Amino acid sequence: MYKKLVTAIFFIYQGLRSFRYILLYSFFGQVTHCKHSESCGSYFFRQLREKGMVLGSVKGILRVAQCW
Amino acid sequence: MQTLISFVIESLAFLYDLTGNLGVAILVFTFLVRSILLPITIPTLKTSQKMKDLQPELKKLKDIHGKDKTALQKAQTDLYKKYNINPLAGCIPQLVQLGLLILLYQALISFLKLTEIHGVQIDPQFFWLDLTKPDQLYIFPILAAISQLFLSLLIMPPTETPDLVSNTSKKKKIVVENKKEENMADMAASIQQQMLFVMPIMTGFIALSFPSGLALYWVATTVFSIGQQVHVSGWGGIVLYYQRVVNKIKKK
Repeated sequence: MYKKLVTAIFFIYQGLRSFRYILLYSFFGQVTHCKHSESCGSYFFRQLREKGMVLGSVKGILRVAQCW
Repeated sequence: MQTLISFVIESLAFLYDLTGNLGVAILVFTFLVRSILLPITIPTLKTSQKMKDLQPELKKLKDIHGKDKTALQKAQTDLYKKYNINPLAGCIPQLVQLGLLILLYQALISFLKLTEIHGVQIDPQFFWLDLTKPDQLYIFPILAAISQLFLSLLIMPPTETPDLVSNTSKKKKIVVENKKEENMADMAASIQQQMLFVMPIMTGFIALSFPSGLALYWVATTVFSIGQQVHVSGWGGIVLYYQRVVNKIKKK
């Protein structure tokens, strides 16, 4: 159940990606992309799926914090 | 945060004092903000364009290194170095952008609520509009939607193929999960494509509920983005969409 929920939220997040993208593009004329080949979003959700809520969140946040 | 909002409000008040018109003050403010950002945005756009051109080579690297993420990352870095590309990338800059967006929104809303600046009454009139109230004639919301659609078609965000389940295993359960994942990925890509058209409609409705001063800012900044994008990378997606439509008409 938990894994299904995480996967569903991930795909909604993916679907809404263009919303965020276009909004930022309108206001700033550019959007910076994630620099990792597996994006931080995908990584975050994969960790949540595989390692559980707590450890997965910690690993995901650490990854995002290093992405700049 | 509050200091920055006050700074934006003070800048807008100064521009209103200078121009004597609220609409012109907002337009000048938009132009100034976007011009200040130009030294960052133009090189980033050029880099993005170069990276788009390198997509076939990046795909080749993905095919070569497969699931070896470390090797793939190293190969990509080497490729960027070879073509002298330094992608200003990362999730943190994007989060900063989102923060700035919220800040700008709050500052503009607060500014449009002011009735006087330095003891002088503000005249909210700009052509047919009262900029402190929503546009009852729907002109700015429609302009916001059209400009957004134009920009969306111009940039066509790339779809990313998500991969949560390992593809290497031949186990039946994993293969079934992979199939499910592929279906969901297709669905996500389809949502993303539809968002290109849904987003402008949403923009129109959102702009309709905002004070028209904010809608004016939205239109002006989007038009600036369109000009900037066309200047750096040409007509992009618009040409592809145009060709698709022409081909469909020819087939009929």
